[in-house]
Amino acid sequence: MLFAKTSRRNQLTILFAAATLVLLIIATVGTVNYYQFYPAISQIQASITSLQTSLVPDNMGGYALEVKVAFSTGNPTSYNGLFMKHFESTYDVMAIFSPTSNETFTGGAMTYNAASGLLNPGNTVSIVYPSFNATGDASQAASNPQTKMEFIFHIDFVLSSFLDKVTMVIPSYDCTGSSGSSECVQTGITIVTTPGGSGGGGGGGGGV
Amino acid sequence: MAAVEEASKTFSKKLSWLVASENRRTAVIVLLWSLAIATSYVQALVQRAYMTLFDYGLVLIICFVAGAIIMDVGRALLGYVAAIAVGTILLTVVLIYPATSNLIPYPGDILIPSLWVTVIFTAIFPFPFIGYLVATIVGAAVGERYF
Repeated sequence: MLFAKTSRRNQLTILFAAATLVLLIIATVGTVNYYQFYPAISQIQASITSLQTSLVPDNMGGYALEVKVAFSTGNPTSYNGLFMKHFESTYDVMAIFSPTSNETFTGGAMTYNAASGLLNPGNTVSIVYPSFNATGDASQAASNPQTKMEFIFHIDFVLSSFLDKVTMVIPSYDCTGSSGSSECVQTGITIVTTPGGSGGGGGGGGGV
Repeated sequence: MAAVEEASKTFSKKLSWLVASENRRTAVIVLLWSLAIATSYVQALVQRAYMTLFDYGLVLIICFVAGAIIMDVGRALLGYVAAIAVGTILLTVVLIYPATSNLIPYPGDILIPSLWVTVIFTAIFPFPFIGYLVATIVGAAVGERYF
């Protein structure tokens, strides 16, 4: 009623204020989620969900160390809008002969895994690798029943986010285990500016 | 019913006080204008880190309406400069502040703020800035003629 009586200029002022308020509410919702983005990328969890090893006879008359491993990643924060893609892993095998003597064998890159998925709060993405044979030296060391074998997986994955047009976020982890499941430790976050985006040079990671 | 009428009259009086003089009205509009520009950019950039044509259109309309309310080309120009400056500062603070926490290890903690500065700069300059300026002037001219 009063609105109709007021001048057109004042009506427009009131509408302008109302529109600003609506925009403010919309932006606040987005900003609250955005403020969870940095905690999310630094707290994304990765773990070995299962690690099984067995010595199987190879066709050379010896033994091969067969490894079956599965990982999972999860988002413990309330941030919505992360997607895991391009999971990669390399591995090393540590043969522990005694408490004071060990040797590490470089295993190299694991086969490409196409696992991907949404990392919304509560979601976990499973990454299951087909069984593979560990490097020959590690198999040789494992054939000694006194030797304890420990696997160190160096994993990293590309996180797709709202920043895709300007940068890629790649968290890296080290996962150590001999069997069963274990948690991975984040070792760094690599920020790579996307070609064609509006960013400058490359980025780097660092210990957390 | 009478109480509601009374309350709306009081509210109306308070609103009238805010726009009682041209200087007061301009100050209120510039404040709202900068907030509207900042929030339009924030809602777009926290969703996809770039502005769509819709987002640019939204800011153009905001500038047009703000210019029309100010109804004076000179005041509108000054108001636009103030609003875009305050809006940009507000936007930069909102976007960069969480990235400066210790959550991102070096050098990411430096790279992300500098990326945001680049994103904000390219989203505002040069063509959008000129476009908003034109929308403000046209809005002020329309306001002068029709209000």
